[in-house]
Amino acid sequence: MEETKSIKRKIVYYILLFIVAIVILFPFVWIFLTSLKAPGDIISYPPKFIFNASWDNYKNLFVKSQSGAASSTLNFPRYYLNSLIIAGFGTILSLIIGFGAGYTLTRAKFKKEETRENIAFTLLSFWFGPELAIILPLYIIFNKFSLLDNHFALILAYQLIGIPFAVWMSRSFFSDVPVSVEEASRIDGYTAMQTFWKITFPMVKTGLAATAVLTFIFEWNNFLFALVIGGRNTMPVTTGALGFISYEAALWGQMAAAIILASIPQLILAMFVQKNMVRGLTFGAVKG
Amino acid sequence: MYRLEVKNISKSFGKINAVKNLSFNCKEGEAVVLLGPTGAGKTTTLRCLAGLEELDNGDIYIDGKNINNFSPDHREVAMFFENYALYPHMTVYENMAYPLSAPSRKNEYNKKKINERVQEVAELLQISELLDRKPNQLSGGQKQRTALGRTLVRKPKVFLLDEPIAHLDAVLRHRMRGEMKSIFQKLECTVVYVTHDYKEALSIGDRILVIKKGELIQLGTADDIWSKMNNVFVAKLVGDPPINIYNGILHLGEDNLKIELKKQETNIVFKQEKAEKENLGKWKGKEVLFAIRPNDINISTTKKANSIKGTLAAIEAISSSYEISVYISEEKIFKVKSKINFADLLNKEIYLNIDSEKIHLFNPQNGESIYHGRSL
Repeated sequence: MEETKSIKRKIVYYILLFIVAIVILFPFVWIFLTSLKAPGDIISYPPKFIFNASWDNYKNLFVKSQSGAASSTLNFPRYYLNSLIIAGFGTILSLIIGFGAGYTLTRAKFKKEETRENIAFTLLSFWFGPELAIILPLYIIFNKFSLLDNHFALILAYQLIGIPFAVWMSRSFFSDVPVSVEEASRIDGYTAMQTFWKITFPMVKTGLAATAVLTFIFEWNNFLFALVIGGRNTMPVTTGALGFISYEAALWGQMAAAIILASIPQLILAMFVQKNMVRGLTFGAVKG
Repeated sequence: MYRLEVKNISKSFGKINAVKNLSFNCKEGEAVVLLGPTGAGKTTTLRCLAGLEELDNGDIYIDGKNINNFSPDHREVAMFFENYALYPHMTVYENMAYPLSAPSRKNEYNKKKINERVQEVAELLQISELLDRKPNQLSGGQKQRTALGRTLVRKPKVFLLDEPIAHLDAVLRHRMRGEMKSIFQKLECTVVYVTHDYKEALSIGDRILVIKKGELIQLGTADDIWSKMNNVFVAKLVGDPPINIYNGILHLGEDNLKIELKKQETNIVFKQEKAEKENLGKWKGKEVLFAIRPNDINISTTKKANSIKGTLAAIEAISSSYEISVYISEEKIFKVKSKINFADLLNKEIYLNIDSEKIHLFNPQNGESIYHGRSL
């Protein structure tokens, strides 16, 4: 009896898992299939699941002067490079500032203990408000400084997303390191700096790696800042993908291919740090 | 010259004064124990010595040199943390080698020397076979030994130990108590040892410093703390079951002392020399606290001189002896420690014979000691 019960339970469990997996993976699979279809197959109804797959859409992304009018103005490799530059350097800047601030917020002694949470909370509040609420003032400021359509400007704007996240997530990892371990190291004859590299860093490095990856993903995925503050020269893949829909034609196939290619860096990075990502997604709410 | 000299140190956290004007010193090779209840400021004192807390006031000297402004890595002290504070990403060997491989000790220890020293200490603490394990693969006792090993590999001027055996199980704690003492003697360590357990303090300390709310209450040898306590607080802190205390009124006779116990039929009367009586003169006819340790009382069924009537309420067998609770009034219980099991007298009326030479008297207002029995 007990055994059949547990088998039944397992079957239900796997069926549920299967349903969840389908819900989550379906759009991704759909986009992937679309990226392999010829234009005619894409818009056919009912949808075709058996078709002549080809990599043409991918090829066309990298070959200029296609017959389609819309694609002649599109420059996908450029968008991709822009994304790498902006999200890449943006992430590096976010991490340098964010990890430093995260460690300081964890360890520094404040005259009033509330100050610590007040600073942390202020940083977090950047994530509460809708981006739309700050995008207009941001546009005006950047415009005044002639910083529109500039890589550096976008990197700066992305810090609004990157730094608070890096601070909060790294802080949750730093605070898992017991103070007494660092104190023991000081008494054992190491300076504060040596203690950080010998003791603290090895204990948090996987967590910091996960933080880095998630920060990169958030910055890579940003759409609004890129749309408003960016321009023709700095367009990343997120806004660039919009160009596939134009007055003359909607290049669904190439758009799908672009989306697939744009997801690859995130997927690869995410695989490396899977284990520690969960904490980032719960945003330090639960202390490990 | 003292190895360690602490002069009038104070430390407060906001409105809480953790350490108040504390002074003591420690000779080379001496073990000084800080004894006190939770929150007495023992750990804070130790952290001040280690340089983990900044002093508000006072001075600390090691070998005559003021170390107030030295950071922890320059103080030449080693510290054992109550929670062990092992480095989780390092093996037992690496944990123990860590203090020796500090960049500042590069000239003192090379790899070979470090290895020799770690092996030597590991052998002393019987953890040689654990050297390749990580802390999360160790039991509580093994962690404690590793942390102790990491403290002992170095040869600092002063060892600071914060409750090193408090979290071990009873059997291990008992064994380690003896071992600690012999390790300290073998290594000729100068030790400041923090504990809340009086047994540890009495067995390990050459001298014991009793503190309460950051203030020094008594500094003395184990004997002083046990039998010449200068305060009722010390009397209560040391001893298990705790000392029996009862209110009484002191009367002075020609050549005797009489303590009239409140709400009791009997008085405690015993002979006393004149000279000692003079100190007691001002307490004549006044209320005092009468105290007697549970093992200085005998139980009998017949009334003798200096015996208090009571009802035997409970008997607890604790290892080889018995802890007996006796009601001497409706709300007051006296505890007696005895080798004999008085099970047949349970709930019966009995007499507590007080060994008059082992009584203590305290001032009921401020708790200070007035008198200790003669034979102490």
